[in-house]
Amino acid sequence: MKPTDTFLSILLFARVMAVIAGAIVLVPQDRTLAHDGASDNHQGAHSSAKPATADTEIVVQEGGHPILKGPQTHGQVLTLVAGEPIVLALRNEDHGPREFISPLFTKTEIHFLGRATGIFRKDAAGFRLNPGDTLTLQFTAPFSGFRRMYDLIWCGHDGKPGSELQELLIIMTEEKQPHAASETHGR
Amino acid sequence: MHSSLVPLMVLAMVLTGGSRGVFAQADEREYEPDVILVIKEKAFHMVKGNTSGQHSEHPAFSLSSGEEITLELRNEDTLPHEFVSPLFAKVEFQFWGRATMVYTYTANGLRIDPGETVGLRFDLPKDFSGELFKFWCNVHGKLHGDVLQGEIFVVKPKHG
Repeated sequence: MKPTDTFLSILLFARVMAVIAGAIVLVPQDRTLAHDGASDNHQGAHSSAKPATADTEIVVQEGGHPILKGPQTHGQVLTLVAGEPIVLALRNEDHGPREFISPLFTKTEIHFLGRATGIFRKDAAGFRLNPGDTLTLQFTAPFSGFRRMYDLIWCGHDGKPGSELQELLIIMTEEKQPHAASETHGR
Repeated sequence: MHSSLVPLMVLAMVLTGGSRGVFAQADEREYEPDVILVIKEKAFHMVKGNTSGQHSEHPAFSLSSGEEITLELRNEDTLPHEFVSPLFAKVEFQFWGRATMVYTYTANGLRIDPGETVGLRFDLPKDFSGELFKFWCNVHGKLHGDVLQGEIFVVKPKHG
């Protein structure tokens, strides 16, 4: 092999390595960046904060119907056990702001992670989410003194007058039965 | 041949430097707070904002009515603290970050864990001009003489 050929080979190798290095430097960072950017949008100064994994989700998709997802859901009913923690994600995939309001949110401490507008009413509280936003709630299902307690979640539009679309979801909070508890422990 | 390598190296350097630059931007805050309140040593400290009420023994700041306000709260103490105010029973506020909702008969707000930062954004109606709103930590600032209290004075905007 001539010295010129060796030199050319080295140059070619260097060029290939430079392109690969550039690609390695750029591609993963851009991916992370897109994620971090979105995360920053929702979490402000908490880009490093990770939300707890949601057990249950309420997703409002385009068209307005809220959908409950998760093992504790049955159609439009979410079943909770009093005294047990739950992680509930609210997701607005609609084109306009959507509200999630419930008396339940006034009965227990609601920890949240994300971005929303707080709604405080006399007998209910809730959140208004802008399109594309997700808010993760973490709370302990409250005791009511009854075997079963039913609460509603209003999944309405942004308080538009004349808007008839007020989708309702039901939260059923059950007191844990002693025998049910022992069954659970036995599993 | 040598000259063809230089642009590649320059390109690589520019691209690497460029990506660092974008990373730095991602770390930056996306909003500019009008007021920054830091909670530390069991007291509110105003880091940014228009100081008001010089005779007040607690931190006090003024906000202009008819404007959108962005307030940043940082808990640099070792305990969770609350920021509640009757103002937030009158106006809705948007929040972002990690916190706990605080809902009382007279005031609403948030509880912030140590090390957390939360942003609040709200509109102050024009007819609030001249009103004074207290704020306090609902755990450590409820009683007369408690330190974790402060005041928000709503003023008319200078340009209007």
